[in-house]
Amino acid sequence: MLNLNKICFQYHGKPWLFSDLDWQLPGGKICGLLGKNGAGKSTMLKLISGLLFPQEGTSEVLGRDPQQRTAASLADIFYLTEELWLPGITAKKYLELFAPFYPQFSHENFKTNCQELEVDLKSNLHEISYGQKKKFLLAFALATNCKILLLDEPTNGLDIPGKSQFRKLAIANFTEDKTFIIATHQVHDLENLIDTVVMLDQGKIIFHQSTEEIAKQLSFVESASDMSNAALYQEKVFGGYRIISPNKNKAETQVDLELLFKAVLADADRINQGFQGGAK
Amino acid sequence: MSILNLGQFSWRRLGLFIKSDLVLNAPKIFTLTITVFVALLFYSLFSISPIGSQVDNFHPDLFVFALFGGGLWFTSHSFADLNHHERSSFFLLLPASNVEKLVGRWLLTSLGYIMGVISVFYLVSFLTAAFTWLIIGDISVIFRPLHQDLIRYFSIYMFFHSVFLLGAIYFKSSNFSKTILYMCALVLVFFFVAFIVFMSLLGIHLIEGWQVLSFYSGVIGLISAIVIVPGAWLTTYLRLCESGV
Repeated sequence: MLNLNKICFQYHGKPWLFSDLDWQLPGGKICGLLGKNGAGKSTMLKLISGLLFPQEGTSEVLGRDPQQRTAASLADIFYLTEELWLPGITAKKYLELFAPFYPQFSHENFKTNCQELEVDLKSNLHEISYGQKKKFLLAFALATNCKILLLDEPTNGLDIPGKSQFRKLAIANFTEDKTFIIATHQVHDLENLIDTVVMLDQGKIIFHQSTEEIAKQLSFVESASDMSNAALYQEKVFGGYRIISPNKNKAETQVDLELLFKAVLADADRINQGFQGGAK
Repeated sequence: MSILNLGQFSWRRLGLFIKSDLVLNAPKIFTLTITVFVALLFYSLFSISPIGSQVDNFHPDLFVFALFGGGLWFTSHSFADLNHHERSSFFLLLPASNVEKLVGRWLLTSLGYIMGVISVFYLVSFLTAAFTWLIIGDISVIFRPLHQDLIRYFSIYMFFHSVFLLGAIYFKSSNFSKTILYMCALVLVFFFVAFIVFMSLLGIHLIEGWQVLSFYSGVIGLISAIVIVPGAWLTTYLRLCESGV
């Protein structure tokens, strides 16, 4: 589905952001692309969508070269950017103008999504708040039924109910022939949504595992006492410690994405040791 | 075929693209059209002679200004969204091929604009003729869009349009003025090189060289059009293909 081979990319006059980057992602995944600010998450999404071109290496998305930006490939990829732009027309007009570009667009899904996200369809899209714009575009993006949905910080600007509505809708609109790649640094917002975790740091993929494998191999617990000797990573919190340790007794615990994120950033090699093959 | 990826062309998508462009730019187009129409109508009405009506109420100077001034300015802004930080992603990721996007913008700023100008001038001419008849009782000749002079203007417009379309995608800002500046610079370089060739290789003096150039101006113009127009279109297309954010 997604195949990046030896990708090298740099912005003009800046050092290399990606150097010989390889990444393969099969279809039917909801992938969380995590990383600090400036790690290259948005750039990665732009390379996948064909908005940026790598200086070296090849990329293949759904068997096509995204750099060609053919109508067919664009109709299969929807990229919701962090910086939103919407024309000064009503939502209804927007739908009338742009939905026909997506052959699989479902008006029924769009209606349901808008109801769920409480999107105001009557106002001019220029005049609504950032959060409302984001909700409208999320409703539209999910209704396009594109095979690849790239979401850049989708929960930024959403209120607390909006975030949970987004998770609910993403799951409702997901099917096995689709792939969602969600880039964010707000890892909490993706809990119970993603099935694959990819972490980027300094232009490298330092961690790539399924949540199922993470739950199998790692144990996320809280302890009142310091367990630094046995833990792969621990963080002091009020009243004790949050700990990641090898899951020796194979009792699966709830994956704490935020703790995992911090642990991988602190020492990726140590966390990857617990997995066969390390970072994929 | 492979460069232009014509297999990716769809009339339906082209229609959708043009429709979306027209709707999104409707307020601007409407304001501009009404302003030009009203200004032109007043000018035309005040030009009606109380002694005798004009034989022809067409104002070629205004037509040239509207066609070239307005059209080329409009053309040089045809890829403004590509240079806008947020809008560029929207434009580039809209599911239409690069050929469809280019043809859409080309049609709107060339044939579309010409049709628009013709319509405005025709309507103004018609109203002026009606007023002339009401006030003076004479019937003036209504604007004829297929007049030989106008067809020549349209051909010249299409030549400059291709250059300004390239300028629209090539420059990031001040596209109109930069295109004019670059065009003037290129013309100067052309004449400079031509005179150098004449003087050094053929031994012809400056004035004689100028006479030779003037004599062959028609041929030079034709060759320029044959080379420059398709060249500018192709370069615009390639530039669009390699545009990113």
